[in-house]
Amino acid sequence: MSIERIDEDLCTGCGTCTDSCPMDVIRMDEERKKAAIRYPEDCTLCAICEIDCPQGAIYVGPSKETQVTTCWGL
Amino acid sequence: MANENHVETDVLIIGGGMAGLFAAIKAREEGVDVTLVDKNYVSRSGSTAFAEGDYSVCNPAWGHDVKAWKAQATLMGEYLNNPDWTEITVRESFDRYEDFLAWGIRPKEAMDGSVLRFRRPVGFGPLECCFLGRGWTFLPAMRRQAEKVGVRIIDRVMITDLLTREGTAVGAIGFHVRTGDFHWFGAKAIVMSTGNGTFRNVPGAMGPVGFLSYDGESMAYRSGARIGGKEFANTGATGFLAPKNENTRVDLRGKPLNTMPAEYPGWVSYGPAISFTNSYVDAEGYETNRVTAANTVHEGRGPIYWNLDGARPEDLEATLRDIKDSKTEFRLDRVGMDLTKGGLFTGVLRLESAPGHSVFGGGTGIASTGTDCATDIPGLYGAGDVYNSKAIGAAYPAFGFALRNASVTGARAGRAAAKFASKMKRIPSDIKELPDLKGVMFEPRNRVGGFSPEWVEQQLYNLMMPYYVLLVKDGERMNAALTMIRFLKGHVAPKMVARDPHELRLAHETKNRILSMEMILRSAIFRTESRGSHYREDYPARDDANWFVDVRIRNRAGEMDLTKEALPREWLPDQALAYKERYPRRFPGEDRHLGMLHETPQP
Repeated sequence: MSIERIDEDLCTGCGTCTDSCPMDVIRMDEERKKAAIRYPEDCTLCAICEIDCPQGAIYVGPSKETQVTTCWGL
Repeated sequence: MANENHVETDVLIIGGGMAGLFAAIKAREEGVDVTLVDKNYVSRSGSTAFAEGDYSVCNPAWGHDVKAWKAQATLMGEYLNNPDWTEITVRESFDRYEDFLAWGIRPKEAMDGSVLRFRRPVGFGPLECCFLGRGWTFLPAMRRQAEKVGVRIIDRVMITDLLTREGTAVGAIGFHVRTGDFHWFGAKAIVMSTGNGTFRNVPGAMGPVGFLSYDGESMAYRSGARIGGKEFANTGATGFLAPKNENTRVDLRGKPLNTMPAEYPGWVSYGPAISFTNSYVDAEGYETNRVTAANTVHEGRGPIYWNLDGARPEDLEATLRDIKDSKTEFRLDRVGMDLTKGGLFTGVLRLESAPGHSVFGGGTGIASTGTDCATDIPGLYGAGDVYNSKAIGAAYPAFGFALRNASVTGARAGRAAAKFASKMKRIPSDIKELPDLKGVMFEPRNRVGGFSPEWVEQQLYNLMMPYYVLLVKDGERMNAALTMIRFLKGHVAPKMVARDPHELRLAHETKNRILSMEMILRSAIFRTESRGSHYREDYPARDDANWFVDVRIRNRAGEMDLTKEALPREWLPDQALAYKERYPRRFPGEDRHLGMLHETPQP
C-alpha cells in the first residue's frame, strides 16, 4: 500500500509533509487546503512524512505492491 | 509556456546532502555568492537524509593513529585507494566533526557523558565511529547554518545538464519539478554533489533513496569528464532502517529486520551461524558478503538462513529495547512478527536479486584530478558520493566512511570553487547551446505518445537486478544485458513521454540510470579480474600484473571510450608477500582459478 492515508480531520494543511517527501509523492490540495497523496506509486516507504507530521495525521503502511506496467499503454 | 528563471551566482552547488551543504557553507565563508539547488527539499534530500549516522572520525587526541587507519582502509580497498585522498579524509574528519559541534549537532554520548565511540568487533582494525544521529535528525541544523551564512537555497529544481563554454563549466539548466518552470544558472564555478544512484521504485532497495539517479555523473559525462570506478558499483545500502524494507541485509521470513542501534556490536558478529561454503564473509564490507551469499544461491544452495541463536541475550535485549523505543523506523507493528515472544529469530537472507547499485564514499563517479576536488572540466568540482576521489578503493571499507568522505570533500570542493570563482571576472551569460539543451530537456513533455518512464524503469530492473548480472558477474551474461541496455539508451529513452513535470523528472532520472547502467556493465566487462566488490566467476581472482589500474570512461562522439590508467606500483604491498596475504579475503572459485593459472603447460 505504501503511504496509506492522510487523516483529513487531523491535517492542518501546514505543508510540512510536502517538503519532506523526497519522492515528491505528496502535494497540497489547494482547494481543500489539505495535503494529498498525489503519486503513491513512487512512495519508497521511508516514512519521513509520517515522522515529520506534527499532527500525526499520516500513516505509511508496511509494504508495497509493485504494479506491473506494460509497454502498450500509459 | 513555462516561466523562465535565471540566477547568476559565483558558486553553484548542485545537490544538498552532506557534501553539498558542506560545500555551500564553506564556499560562502570565503565571501562569494553561493546558490544551492536540489531536486528535493534540502534537509530531506540526499542519501544523507537516510544515513544511519555513523561518522568515522579520527582524532589523535583520542589515541587514534592516522597511519593505521589509512592502512586499514587501503587493505579493504585492495590498494586502489588514492593514498593522498585516503589520508586527507582520515586527517580532516576531526575538523569536520568540530564543524558539527559548532553548528549545534551533538554526537551521541556514552553513559559517562563522553562522546560515544564504537567500533565493530571483527575485522575493522582500529577504525572507530561516533554517532551523529540519523541523517534526517541533523540535516535541519546544517540547512539552518547554510541559511545563516547567506547561502541561497532553491528547492525542488532538478538540474539536467551543465552549461559549458570552451570546455569550462559556466552554468546549468533545469526545471521546477512541480511547476515545470524553466530554470537556468550562470556561475563562475560549480560543485557537483548529487550523490550516487539506485533504482527508484523498489521499496527500500538501498534504503529509501530511490531519488538517487546518477544525475551528476551523467551530466559530467555528457560534458566530457572522465568517470571512474563503475565496475565497483555495488549493492551497498544506506543505514536507514526503513520499515519492512526488502533489503539484502537481514530478512525475517521475508519481513526484514535491518536495524541495529549504533552501539550494538554488529549484526555480522553472528556470522558463524551462517554456513557459507566459500568463506568470503567478514565483518567489514557487508557488500562483499553478498557476493558469497549470492554465489551460494547461484550454486543452488539458497535460501540462506540467518540464525541469531548465537546472539548474546544482552544484545538481543538491547535490540528489542531499541525497537520498542524507536519512534520511527522499525516499529514493532511493522516488523510483521512479534519479536518480544521467544526473543530469538531465524531469518532468511534473500540474495536472488541485487536491488540497486551504488558506491558510497568516493569509490565511483566523476574522476578526481586533484585533492582540491577538481575534475577534467575547469570550473567543475566534485564532492561526496558522485566524486571518484578514490578515498576508498575497490570496496566500501567500513561504516562511517561515506558521511566522512562527503563532509571532507564537500568542504574542500566549496573552498576550491570559491577560489576559482574569485579569479573569474564575470559570469558568462552568452551560452549558445542554451536553446538546444532546453529543447531536449522539455522534449518528453511535448511528445504525444511514447514509453512511460515507469515502464522503462521496470525494464531496467528486470535486466539489471537479478543476482547473476552484477553480484555474480560473467562476461557473456553482462554482454547480453549490455545489448539491451544499449537498445534502451538508443531507442527507448529518446521516446519517453512525460504527462506532467513530475513525470519529466522521472524521465530524466530514468535516462541517467540507463546511462549509468551502461557504464557499470562496460567497466565490469572490461576489467577481467575480480577485486573488492567486483566479482567475476569467469575471472575469480585479482590480477595485479594486468589490472592494477583504474578503468575510466569518456564520452567520445556519443560512444563510451574505456581506458586503463596504470597506477603506481608502489601502492601495492610487497610483491614478495604471498597472494593470500596481500589479499586476505577469498573469492568463490579463486583457488581453482589460481591453481589453473599456475600450471605451466608443457610444450
